[in-house]
Amino acid sequence: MKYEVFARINQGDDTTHIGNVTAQSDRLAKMYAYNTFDEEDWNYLTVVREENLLEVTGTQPKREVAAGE
Amino acid sequence: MSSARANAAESVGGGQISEFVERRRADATPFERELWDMIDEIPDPHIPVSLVEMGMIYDVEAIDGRVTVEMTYPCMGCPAYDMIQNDINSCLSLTDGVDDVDVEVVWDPVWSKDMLSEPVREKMRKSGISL
Amino acid sequence: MSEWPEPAVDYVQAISDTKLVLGHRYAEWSLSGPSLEDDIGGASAAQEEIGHVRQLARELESQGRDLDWLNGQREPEAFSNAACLDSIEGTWTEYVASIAPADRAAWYLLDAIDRDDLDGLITKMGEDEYFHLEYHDARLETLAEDNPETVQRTLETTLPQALALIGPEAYDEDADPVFETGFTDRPIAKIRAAYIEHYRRLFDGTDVSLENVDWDQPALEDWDETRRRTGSGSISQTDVEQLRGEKNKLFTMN
Repeated sequence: MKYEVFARINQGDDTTHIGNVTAQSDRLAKMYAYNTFDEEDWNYLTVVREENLLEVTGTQPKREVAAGE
Repeated sequence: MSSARANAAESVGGGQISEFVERRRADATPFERELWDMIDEIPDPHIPVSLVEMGMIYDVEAIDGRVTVEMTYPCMGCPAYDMIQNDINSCLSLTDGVDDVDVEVVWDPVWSKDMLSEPVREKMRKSGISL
Repeated sequence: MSEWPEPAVDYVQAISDTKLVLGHRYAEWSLSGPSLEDDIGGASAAQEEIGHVRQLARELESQGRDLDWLNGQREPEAFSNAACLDSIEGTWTEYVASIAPADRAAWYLLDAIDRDDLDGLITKMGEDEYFHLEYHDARLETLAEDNPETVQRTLETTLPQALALIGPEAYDEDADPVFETGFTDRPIAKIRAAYIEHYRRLFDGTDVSLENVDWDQPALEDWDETRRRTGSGSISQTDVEQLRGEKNKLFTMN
């Protein structure tokens, strides 16, 4: 499962997208994010399941290649 | 609170110390303040700020030429653990009036980024590092 | 620094030796994980454990233990590490199911220490340990789904060994010598109960059954109070040589 990682450095800063992790569970995704994005002592660090990001506009280009293409 | 290198942007130190550090050095003698200022010029090996600015120095005590520096580390597994203590040692032992330097590592209070002053955080942000 | 009661010195020695070997195992396996994230976590945990050992060694030195001896100048049988770290055979699954019980047991022992002069030190270690233990549990949950037989088989060996590090059930509030001195704030029996309850809850509802784990280990009469284990096993001579770091002395920075 893919998770998007969001963080802010200080309270009051904008929470920004800093990357993603792939993990088998929410709990593991949190630990992966903590260990991998440890360049800061984040005031707030969060992971969101990719499927829970509901797109409003800006459709992403599809990355799969279908058989026969 | 003044430092000779306060105006050199690339240098470390410069008296940008937090309330925490200010409280810690409040009862320092004039000689101990000189020693604090010297340590304020020793850079943290990872970050372009001084050990004092990092809030890692908790106390400096000088009694009859014997200097005791109480310090802590943001990370217990710091790879520069010995190197930093050696830096303090060599910096202070060359000073007139210092016969012996003892660096004591303590964990109370536990270090936190609240010990950094706003100007120090700004300096770190400008270098692309934030804590 | 004030003097600790004698049984407390062995108690801390066993925590320190467990962390020493644990750091070594983390480092050995830090290129073997199923993903880069697992390896990064392992390498970081290795560094943190070594940091903890460095501080515990200072404390033990202040209680009269020799620093060279603490750092590895001794026979394998003189190490008091949790027996589940003596050697790790098999795959990464066996590795996780061996280190996780040891790390948690060592932390429970540390957390029980009730000394004002060690308070900051233990709080700082706890900041690291929270993430070690949370990661282990997250990993054990996924491994319980992917490979329940291996997890179960390994835990049947490693949980009793980690319990031996904690100590015998018979050490309740009337019999635990370390608790009696006031060095710890809870007796071994209570630490064990919390530990056992944790793993029961973690695997509840998974395909890993802990039914065959011998939760009564160690029996008081078989237990070596100094090494906090039963039996005469130990890490290998090669492990000791690597812990001493003699081959790489050339690269020491001091």
